[in-house]
Amino acid sequence: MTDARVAGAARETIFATPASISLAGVVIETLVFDPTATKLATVVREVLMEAPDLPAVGQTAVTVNST
Amino acid sequence: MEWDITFANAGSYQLWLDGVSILSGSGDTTGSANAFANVFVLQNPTVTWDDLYLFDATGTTNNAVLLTSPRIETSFPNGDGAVQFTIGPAVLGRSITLTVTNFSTGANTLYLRPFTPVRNCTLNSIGILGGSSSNASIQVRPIVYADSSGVPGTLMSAGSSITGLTAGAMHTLPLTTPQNLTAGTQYWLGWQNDTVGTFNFSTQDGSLQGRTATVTFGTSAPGTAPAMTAGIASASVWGNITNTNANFVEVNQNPPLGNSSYVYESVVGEEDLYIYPSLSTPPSNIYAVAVKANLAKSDAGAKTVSVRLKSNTTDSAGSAGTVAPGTSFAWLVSFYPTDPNGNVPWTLSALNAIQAGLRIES
Repeated sequence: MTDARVAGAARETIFATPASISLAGVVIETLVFDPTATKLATVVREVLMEAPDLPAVGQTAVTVNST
Repeated sequence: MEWDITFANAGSYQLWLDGVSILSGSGDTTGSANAFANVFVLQNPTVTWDDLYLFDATGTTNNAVLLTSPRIETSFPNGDGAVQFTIGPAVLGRSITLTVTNFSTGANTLYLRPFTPVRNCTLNSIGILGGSSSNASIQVRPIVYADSSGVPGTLMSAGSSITGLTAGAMHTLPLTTPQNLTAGTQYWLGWQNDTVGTFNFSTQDGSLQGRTATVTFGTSAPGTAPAMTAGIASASVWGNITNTNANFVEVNQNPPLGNSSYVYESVVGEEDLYIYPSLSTPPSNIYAVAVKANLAKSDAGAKTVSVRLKSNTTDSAGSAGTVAPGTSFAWLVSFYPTDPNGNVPWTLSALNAIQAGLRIES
């Protein structure tokens, strides 16, 4: 009798992940008082963050964990 | 990258990169009098393109670009659900090669590779895939050794030698005494050959799991494996096994092994459903689920099947419906844009709880 034979099975799911914030780097830059000068120009602290949720240009978001 | 193109003599188009619109306009988006596309081409020889989704503007779901940088995750069965099919041939390891590289051995070579079964099983024979060159006179003896602190130890069984290897052919080398193997325990499978085997064997993949030693072929395999050289290419050698008592291990290799590993059934209404691992990350939205089965029928007789997805008590054939498979193994795909249990949007808990597989329809 003819039978059907199954050699492989798989489930594929296409989905979106929730928005998240990725912290790519933190920088503190401080312009200090120069004792040879007479004035403190300024003090700056900068925090550099990646824009939320979007992979960097050139990365393909749909390739993750897929075959 | 996402494209939204209306195929018309004056049609609009818009392109997005990571959800950000980078180009839009309108014009003649057809190459003929037909207002549809019949081919999709991505041209860049240095980029590997992977998953693709395609939408049209019809229906109530997935009828527009997603713009959410979606992921597609493929999951293979990791357990039996409600299974009724009969277990066919089964393999420890992989009976197909992922490379086109050939493997050569010197004279009087003993070759072994480590394998760890995921199920208790019985090892009956060793399989070897021939390389690009045939050798009518080479003698090859199957061997299996127990593990001893990560290296080959005591000989468990061997078998009668075969004479000759045919290029590209699967060779089955029976063991004199089938061996019961324990899940999670490492074993060493391989062969001995007598003369030089230039391109008589094939390589399975790019890993270097093989070990070799020079041992006089003689009349039997050594009772204890000698010190062996590690880092040798992984030859296409595997174990032919029985008594796994699990259907899902027959169908969860990627790529599937075809006639070396399958479950089968002829009785109408019988169904084989498997369970799958949970999605790796919580989704904000599940757009669609596909169930894919790699199958063939045994001969030219009539036989139809349907891919099945069972959500709670609802068992659905999805978009593919009933299909008549051919006699060569091929993928059958069915899509489920909504949870068939109520035709509602997918939830993570519902997706993780589904069983999916195949049913004999006629």
